[in-house]
Amino acid sequence: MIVCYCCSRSGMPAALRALEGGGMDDVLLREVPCTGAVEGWEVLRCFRQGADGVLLVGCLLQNCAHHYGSEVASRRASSLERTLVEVGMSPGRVAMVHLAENQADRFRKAVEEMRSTISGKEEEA
Amino acid sequence: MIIAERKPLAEVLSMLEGARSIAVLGCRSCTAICLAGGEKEAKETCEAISLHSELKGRGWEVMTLTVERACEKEFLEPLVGFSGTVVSMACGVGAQVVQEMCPDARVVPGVNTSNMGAPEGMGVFTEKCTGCGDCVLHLTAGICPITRCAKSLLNGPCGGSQNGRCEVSPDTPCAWDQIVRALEMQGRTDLLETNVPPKDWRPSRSGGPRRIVNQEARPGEAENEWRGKA
Amino acid sequence: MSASLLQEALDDGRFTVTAEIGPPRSCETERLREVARMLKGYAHAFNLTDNQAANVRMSSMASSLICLQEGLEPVMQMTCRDRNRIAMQSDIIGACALGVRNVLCISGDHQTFGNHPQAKNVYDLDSIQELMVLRRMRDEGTNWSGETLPQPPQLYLGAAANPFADPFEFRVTRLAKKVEAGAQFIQTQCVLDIERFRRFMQMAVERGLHERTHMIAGVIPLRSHKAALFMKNKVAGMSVPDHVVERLRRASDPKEEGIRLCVETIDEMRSIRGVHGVHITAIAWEDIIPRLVTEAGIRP
Repeated sequence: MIVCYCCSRSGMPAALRALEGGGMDDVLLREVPCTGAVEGWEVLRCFRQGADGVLLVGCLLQNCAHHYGSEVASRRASSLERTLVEVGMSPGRVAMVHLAENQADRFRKAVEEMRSTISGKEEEA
Repeated sequence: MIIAERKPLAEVLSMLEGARSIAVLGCRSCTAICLAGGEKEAKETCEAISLHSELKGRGWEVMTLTVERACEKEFLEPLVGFSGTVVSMACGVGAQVVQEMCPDARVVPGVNTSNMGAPEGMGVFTEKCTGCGDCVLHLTAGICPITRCAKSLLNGPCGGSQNGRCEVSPDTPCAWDQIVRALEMQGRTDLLETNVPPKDWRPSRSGGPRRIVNQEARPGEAENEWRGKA
Repeated sequence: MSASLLQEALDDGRFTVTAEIGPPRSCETERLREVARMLKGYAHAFNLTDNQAANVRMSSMASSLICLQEGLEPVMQMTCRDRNRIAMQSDIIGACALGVRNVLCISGDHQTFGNHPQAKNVYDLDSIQELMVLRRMRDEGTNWSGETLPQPPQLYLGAAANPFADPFEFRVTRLAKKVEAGAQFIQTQCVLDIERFRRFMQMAVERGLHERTHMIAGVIPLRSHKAALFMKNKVAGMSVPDHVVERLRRASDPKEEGIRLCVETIDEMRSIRGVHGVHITAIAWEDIIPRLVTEAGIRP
């Protein structure tokens, strides 16, 4: 299961369009006003609730509806990824995606990358 | 305020060997402001420890609580009687008061407490005061030489000051360069003319752990009796 | 009444030479004795550094004593970094009991520079306060807490000055403060930027400081342009003009050029009003000192 926190302005439109194309049964969308508002503890909580990966899907840098929200989210995503490794998960389970509302393909690609990160490590284990 | 930094999670996890019940304690004062141990950081640490426990089958019971000020006993009432492990995200002061309030608990530090300082900008905190107990900021244009001069000079600057920087690091401003320029601007260079004699360090930590008593605030007989502490 | 030969030479108005000896890193007493014997007679007094650059070395007091035994006059250096006022007064009493008279009071390089950056630093006093404490011991015959010393130490007190540190204008004021606190001789940081040094001395003379203390200009023989660059970039409080670096880089024999440059600098120092001598720091090149002193014509 991949949980995607998508911002209202860019993430959600792109994600919804991608979902229309099908093949996204393992994706769970959560809408947020801005990815910068997603707190660290709630991302970590996802993993206890059964998530295998988390994506933060926000506006392109320099074009965030809240000016620097997606920039903050990007730093937080890196920090959380490191925390997850420290508690014993394999690397790459949290990732930031920057996109514009019409870039459904970019969303799809990010999901595919996360799937391969998750399954790649599972194969090794 | 007191500046602290989060300890690396690996270090905190190593302190939890043999733990059963874990309370991650956050504080809304200093450590919240310096983003080390406020409510958000405590919740995040709680989640991380819980996840670790599940992944590794430790069987820990993890919860989190954030109080107004961990250094004041009245805010710690909810924790009294706890006998598990407390990961304190409060500063070293709070951690110790928690231990005093919960003698059956095992308190471990979740942060490294560093210094008395102030936010300089987003995410940057600089040391300002070492608590020497005998403040003379009126003589140095409001800039503390004990703290901000690497050598705590009272008759500075030393010969290592160049371009307003301390010899220790180009990122460190020379406090005495700042003091001299500030006093020049204030027209108070007269304060630099007399040599400052050796400092009496007794009011500082050098004199031993300090205990300050405000006599006027000490309860008298009537108050003690009324409170049942006579 | 002079406390030491160094004081005698300076008060007599002779152009005085002091030189620096870096104590060994361990108990290499013989090596130190060899250096002392080699340098004997080429300076009026020799500074024994105190854990310079915060690297652990044989103590200045012990090295000073060994030099005394070899017939040299030492200048013991005492930084504020490693000793509190109790240890300082104690060491001064000990040193004087063993025959040391000249003491240079300095703040000391911060311990982050050296081989024990993890150490807890002291800095109970600064260099000006150190002068105050030592002067009281000598002139008032009491230690800093006011107790009488039945046999006070005899001392000739010195301090350092750095005309190349900032703020420039304040440097002379700080020099005045050191003189006020009791500095009878001043050794400056190595002079390579002669212009800046001239301006500094002019300001010092204007304040009459040359009549209250003896200024001894620091000089250094550089062996190569790399040595010059190291001084320029890695040593705190040094000012090395680009033309000095260039001159050494272009020289066909940099060592000889470095020696020539040093002799020229010494000559320049002799012409500056208020300069009463030179202090030679020939780091890891102590054996060049006899030649330098001879060629500059300043042998005591």
